[in-house]
Amino acid sequence: MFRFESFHMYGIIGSAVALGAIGIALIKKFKVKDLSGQIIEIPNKAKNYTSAIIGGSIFGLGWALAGACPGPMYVLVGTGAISMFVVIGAALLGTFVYGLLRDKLPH
Amino acid sequence: MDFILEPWPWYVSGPLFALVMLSLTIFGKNFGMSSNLRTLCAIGGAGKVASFFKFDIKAQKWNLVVVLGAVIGGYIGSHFLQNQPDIAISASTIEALQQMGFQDPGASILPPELFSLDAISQPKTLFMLILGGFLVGFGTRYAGGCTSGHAISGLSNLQVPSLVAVIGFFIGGLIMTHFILPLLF
Repeated sequence: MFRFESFHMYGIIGSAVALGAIGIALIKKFKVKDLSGQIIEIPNKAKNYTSAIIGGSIFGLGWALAGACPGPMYVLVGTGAISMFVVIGAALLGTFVYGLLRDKLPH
Repeated sequence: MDFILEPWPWYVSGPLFALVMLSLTIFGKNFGMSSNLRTLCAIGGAGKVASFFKFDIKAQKWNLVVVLGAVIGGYIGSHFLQNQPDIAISASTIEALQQMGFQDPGASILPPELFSLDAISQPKTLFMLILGGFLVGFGTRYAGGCTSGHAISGLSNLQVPSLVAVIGFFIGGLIMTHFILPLLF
């Protein structure tokens, strides 16, 4: 996807966001209730722009290197790709190290 | 019915993503595929060493059910809904990958040069997979979400921080793809 030689991924994300945005707007407008009967409240993301851009870039580097983001890692395990366990294990380690360093990092 | 066995086009997959995201929202949850990493660490006891992992694990267990669903989905998809293992990537991508040393780009979703059990026993390959996974795990929690949480859920909710995160994803992805990967291969 990062070579811009195929539309496929952009089509997926674009159509998902287009329909998702319409859906979320309708949910908000009609104060749709969730299964437990409460009005759905979709929290805004914290306005941590620094962590968004730095963390996002770090994730992007890993995404392109490992060839998968978290969702596909699990899907690929389902297809029998045993080697993804290495990637998932490393991801858990990465999350753990983030948790340890969190207070020292800019957000 | 054969079209189900062909790779699903983007205009089928994309809307299905939106459907998953909206379904989870209606269930009172949210669509994100990286909170499970935090939940798993917490289950492993990480709450003892970092406050980031101290939270109500029971309330987050649904993350793991979604993961289970993803694994099952992968199993069903690859074993029953796939009549060919090869992936449609463009001719120019195939050529570029061949120049990097990949023998049959697109023949399978995970190139054996990097992902076969033989390959991962080689230090260089193992290192790349570990580094890649580590950066994903670290970056996704630092950014507060991955492509599902930010690109799909966050952008659908018109969240500017999610847009910034997605820009970050692209910066990282482009740097790796165009500057670093060519050096590694």
